[in-house]
Amino acid sequence: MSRQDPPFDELAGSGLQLGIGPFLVHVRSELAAVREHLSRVYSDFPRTANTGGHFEIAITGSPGLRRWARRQARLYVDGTQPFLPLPERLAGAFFDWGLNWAIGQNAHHWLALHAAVVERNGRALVMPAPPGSGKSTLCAALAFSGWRFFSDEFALVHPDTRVIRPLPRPISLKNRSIEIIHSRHPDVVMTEENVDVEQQVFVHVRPPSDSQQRANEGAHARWIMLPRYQAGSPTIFAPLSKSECLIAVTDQCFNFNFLGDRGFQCLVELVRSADCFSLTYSDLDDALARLALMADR
Amino acid sequence: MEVKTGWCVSQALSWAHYDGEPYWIAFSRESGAVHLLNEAAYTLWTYIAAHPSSRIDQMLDALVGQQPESEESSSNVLEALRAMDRAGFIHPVWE
Repeated sequence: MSRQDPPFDELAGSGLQLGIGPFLVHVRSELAAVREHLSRVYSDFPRTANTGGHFEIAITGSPGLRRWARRQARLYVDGTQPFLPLPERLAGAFFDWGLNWAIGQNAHHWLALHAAVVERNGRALVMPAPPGSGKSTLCAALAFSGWRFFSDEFALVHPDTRVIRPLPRPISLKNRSIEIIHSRHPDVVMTEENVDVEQQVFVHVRPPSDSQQRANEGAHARWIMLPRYQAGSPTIFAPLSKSECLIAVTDQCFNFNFLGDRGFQCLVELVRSADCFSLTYSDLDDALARLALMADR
Repeated sequence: MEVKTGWCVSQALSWAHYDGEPYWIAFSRESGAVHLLNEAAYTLWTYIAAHPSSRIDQMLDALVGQQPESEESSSNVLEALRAMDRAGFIHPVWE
């Protein structure tokens, strides 16, 4: 980053505008937890002192007695409060959760799939899956092992060209995944461990710098893979019919209803142009090696 | 009095199909729902869309062509009709 980057202290004043994939996000907060979170995992992202943007996010402390006891954080997205307040220790993560919500609700320029995406040799591997499938762990491992990281949360597909736009943001890891990634890549930068409202331990991981620098370079989907971690399982790649894959992809699409028939046709063609399969795994090294072999063929 | 039951389509659908696969995928533009259906359902729906108030005997002819009507073919047609009726893709009409 250049020396002209405004300091993260500006968050407490007029705020900062962050360039996050195709979005400009203006964020303001006087809370130290937000400053700490952003300076740790968003330090590579372009930032300016400009105001405005696609999303206006503010995270504030609670008024009244909550200023002294059981302090809380409130999230505002474009002036509305989509979630109840959270304990102030979660204020940093609240930014990312709020941004997820804002993108899912508003990013109708693209078809938004709940999917992790990585790219290798110019071809994208799309991994749509519900929470708890091991998607983010696999995505993080791939992102630090020779694949270019697009997103662990969203595949943003242009409805006409079907080019997938990177949205490289901090990767969310939970529970055992934290140690798995940390032990394999001790140099990656993570937030301090925290506990969410479901009592899950989580961190956010700073995305690889390369993914940030190439955030404008999209790619077409070459593979659609439904991943599933299953303890003790051998690595199983199973072909998936395109019809079943299409149903799975539509299940994980936030907004194809919003785009109507244009969205449906985009998904139909996205699936048609990709190899579709499922991956069941427990041995991460084996899964990574086989995926690299597949991509380098 | 004899009551004849025919069928009409209830809504516009978009269909998708991949070569070599037995399924058709229907997208309801009204509800936004996506359904996995078999080829019989697709053939029937397109027939009904082109011939409103189609009766089952007419659909059987359309589906099985010149082959003699059998219990199995009738059952396939009825099963496909039921599936599409449940999904809200078609509805019965009485003449």
